[in-house]
Amino acid sequence: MAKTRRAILKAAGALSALAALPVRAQTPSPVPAATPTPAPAKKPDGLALVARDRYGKFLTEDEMVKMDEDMAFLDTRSARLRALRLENGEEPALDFRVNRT
Amino acid sequence: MSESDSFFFTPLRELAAKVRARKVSPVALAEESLERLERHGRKLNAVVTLAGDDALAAARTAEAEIKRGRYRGPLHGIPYGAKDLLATKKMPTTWGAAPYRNQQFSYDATVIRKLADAGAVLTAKLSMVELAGGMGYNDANASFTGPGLNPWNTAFWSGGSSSGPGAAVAAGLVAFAIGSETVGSIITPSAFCGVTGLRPSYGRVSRHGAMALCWTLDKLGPMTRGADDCALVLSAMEGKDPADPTTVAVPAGSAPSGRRPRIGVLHGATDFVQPEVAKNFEDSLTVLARFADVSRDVALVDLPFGLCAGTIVDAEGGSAFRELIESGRLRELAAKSDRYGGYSSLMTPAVDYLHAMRLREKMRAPMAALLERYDALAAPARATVSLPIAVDFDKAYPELAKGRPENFVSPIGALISVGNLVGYPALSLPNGFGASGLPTGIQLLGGAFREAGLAGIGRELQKRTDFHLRRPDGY
Repeated sequence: MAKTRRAILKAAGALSALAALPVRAQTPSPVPAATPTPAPAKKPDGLALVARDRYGKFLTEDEMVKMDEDMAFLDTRSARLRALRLENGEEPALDFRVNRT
Repeated sequence: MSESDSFFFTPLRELAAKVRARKVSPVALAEESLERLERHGRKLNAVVTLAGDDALAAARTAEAEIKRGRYRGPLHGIPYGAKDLLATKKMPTTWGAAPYRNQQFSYDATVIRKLADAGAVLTAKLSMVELAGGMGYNDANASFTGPGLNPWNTAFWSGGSSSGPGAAVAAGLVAFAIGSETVGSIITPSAFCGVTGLRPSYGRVSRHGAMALCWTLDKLGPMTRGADDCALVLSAMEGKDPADPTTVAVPAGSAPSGRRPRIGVLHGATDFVQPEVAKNFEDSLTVLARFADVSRDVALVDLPFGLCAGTIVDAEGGSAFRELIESGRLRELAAKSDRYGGYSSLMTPAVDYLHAMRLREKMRAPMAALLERYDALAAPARATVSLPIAVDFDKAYPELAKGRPENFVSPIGALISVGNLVGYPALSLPNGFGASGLPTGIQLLGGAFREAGLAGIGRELQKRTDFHLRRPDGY
């Protein structure tokens, strides 16, 4: 099964530094990933099913498989973010301003 | 004019002096730029729209003003190109994407207006990766104008997402160009094309009239031949703008202090990079050490920069392009992966976005502290030279992955990600050549609003090297 760049980088463990680049690629990955061992096709579930229901009409079957991988990646990314614990009072950088150092 | 004496390989200050002294005519410069853009720029897929008669009219006005003694400054009468995500009322603004190829704005972006006020002459809207890469492209053919070709070797990409600005400056089609960066889009094409690019601090340059991909990450900056040129162009672009509430007045005291700069080299900066990239980086450090204190093995705070940047780009980009994505018109995009890549953006959980933004906040204090100790953090600009046009990005240079640990975090990607997340300026400088005759670069990250310090380091480096003066064959 062809893999998306997102899935390949996930497999290579390179996402922590490079997610901004390949995931919504402003640039290509500076360090190409190893070619992963092809994984057996997985039945879409969870978010992938919702995505197929909403957007499948715009996609070919091959593209839907790639979208499934993207949705699986969202789950993985959520898990990685959840693992980075924050205190209740830690607020987001919503009103983003840069202060001179 | 022959290829060898094109004006656009001349440092801006020298060119400006000739214009001011009326040894060079702004009209002749505009004509030369338009001719070179047509002849070379089209072949490089670097041009979207030529300004044509409007450029010549602006050049005639500049020439008449200079003749009357009304000299506006060093950009007066100088031709430039703008990435085609900046709104212009006289030309379409396509965002590099087929669904927007006829988009017309009724106003000029603030940057376009400021450069016009400085007397600069816009000769072309330059190509870019569609939607600045917001849909997750994985190959060079990611623009309705075709893949951006690298003037140093046209079998390779000019980089993204500011593809046209990189190629047009490298090939001497304009005197300078304006690019944009969310996460790497000035640094990458600058490095791949062997030009100098400056990503300013967030808030230094108005984004009004620029396509939004990520409101909290997008920045506009100059791409030029040398660091001095970047500083010159930035001074005309910067400043508070009521139309962009995130802009700030340029803080005082941002000039270099006069002491030896302190440069921190990231730990592992040359791990898993091409050999020529490593060698050229080491050579740059040797030159830097002649006028700066260079410290090795500097570590960034241990936070997931890429994870956060990716989540933020997904969420903000998904919101910015929600209507397009939900319309099904992603099918019109050029890159294969862009045709489905936007759907996961729409499914990014709000809590993940906020989690990333909370982690982003935690990066600010340690990065500010680190950049109190150093005037710049250094790493190669990219791990490789440019990527081949004919190969998907994830299949290029597979040899670099051999032996690399699974949990490897690239300091190069980390520096680009964290620099953008905290909104600090960065400079990419050409520092040699590598595989396939392609350029390599070094990136320097500075503290907030310390562009002048970065440009100073760049100037000193470029006084001692000549990579920024090299030109590709045939241009």
